[in-house]
Amino acid sequence: MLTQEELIRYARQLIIPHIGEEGQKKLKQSHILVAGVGGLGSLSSIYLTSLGIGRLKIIDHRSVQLSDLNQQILYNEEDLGLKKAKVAYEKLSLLNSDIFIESICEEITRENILRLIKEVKIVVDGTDNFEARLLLNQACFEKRIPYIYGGVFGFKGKMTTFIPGRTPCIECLYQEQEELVQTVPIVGPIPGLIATLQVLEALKLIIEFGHPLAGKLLSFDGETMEFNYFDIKKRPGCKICSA
Amino acid sequence: MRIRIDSNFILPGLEGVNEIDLNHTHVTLWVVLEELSLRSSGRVKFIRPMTDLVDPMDFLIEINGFPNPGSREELETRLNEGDLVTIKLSPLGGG
Repeated sequence: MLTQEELIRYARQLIIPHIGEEGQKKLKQSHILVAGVGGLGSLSSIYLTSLGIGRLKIIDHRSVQLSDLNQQILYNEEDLGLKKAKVAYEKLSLLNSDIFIESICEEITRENILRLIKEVKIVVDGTDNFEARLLLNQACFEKRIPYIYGGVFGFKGKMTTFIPGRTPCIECLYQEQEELVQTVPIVGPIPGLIATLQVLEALKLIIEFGHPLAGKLLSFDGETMEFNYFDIKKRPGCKICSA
Repeated sequence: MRIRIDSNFILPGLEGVNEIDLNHTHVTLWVVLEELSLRSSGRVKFIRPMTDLVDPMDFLIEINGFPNPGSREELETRLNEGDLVTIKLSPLGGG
């Protein structure tokens, strides 16, 4: 049941036939984890909060740095030195006080990953390294949780939705991948775009509408403004999804 | 000349095929990548237009398991019968 205030707050999306009150109730009942609230997670957590996701869990162990402010739009100069998860919690709560937000200042590790994704229905990737992504991938596969990958570099961005049992997994694409560079160049609009598309994927999965980007990798090149799609394939012998 | 092809995605125009046969006596990595682009009807451009190189943030190239940086000079690497060219979508790690 939606409250009178919710009917007003979400009025512009409630009038979309494929959302409506039923879809909004599904959003209200959903539970999403945003893994990392940096460039991608800043924006995805804002949109997930404004959509009315019932439970939002945000994880990040880092503090806000001056060099984050060109692309991590949740933060400002007053937040420098503060824990991102804590600041994000405060700002997202101001945006929508009706939803339950849980903020966790922890690094994603092999030891805590299963606890972190407990009861979560969808994981939205906001991490900045492949070690964490591979952990999320494995845990999501084990628990049959869709994992919406996003990655950026300079003017380029990529994303796809991994659905356990239906699509390849991230290890089919990238095995034990080492980072190509220490400091990833990022220009704000690229994580903004990719995070927006990640949220759109999450929304569609929750309301069961449209076609998720399952089995396809979207690649965006900001230099040429070209979107490209690649059919990705299961890797025979993948230790995660081919076992 | 027969060149084996592998990738972590389905190459458009090469679905279910893992080798190409080129009617050239002198085959370079450049020739193979351009041929694959042609077979994809231009959907995939492995060699970045106007730059004459493969952007490592788009694709990672290997020849017989050894990385090839895809620079202008390295694209001229000569291939032999049965060589394996691997093309992978590059991982983008930032977030």
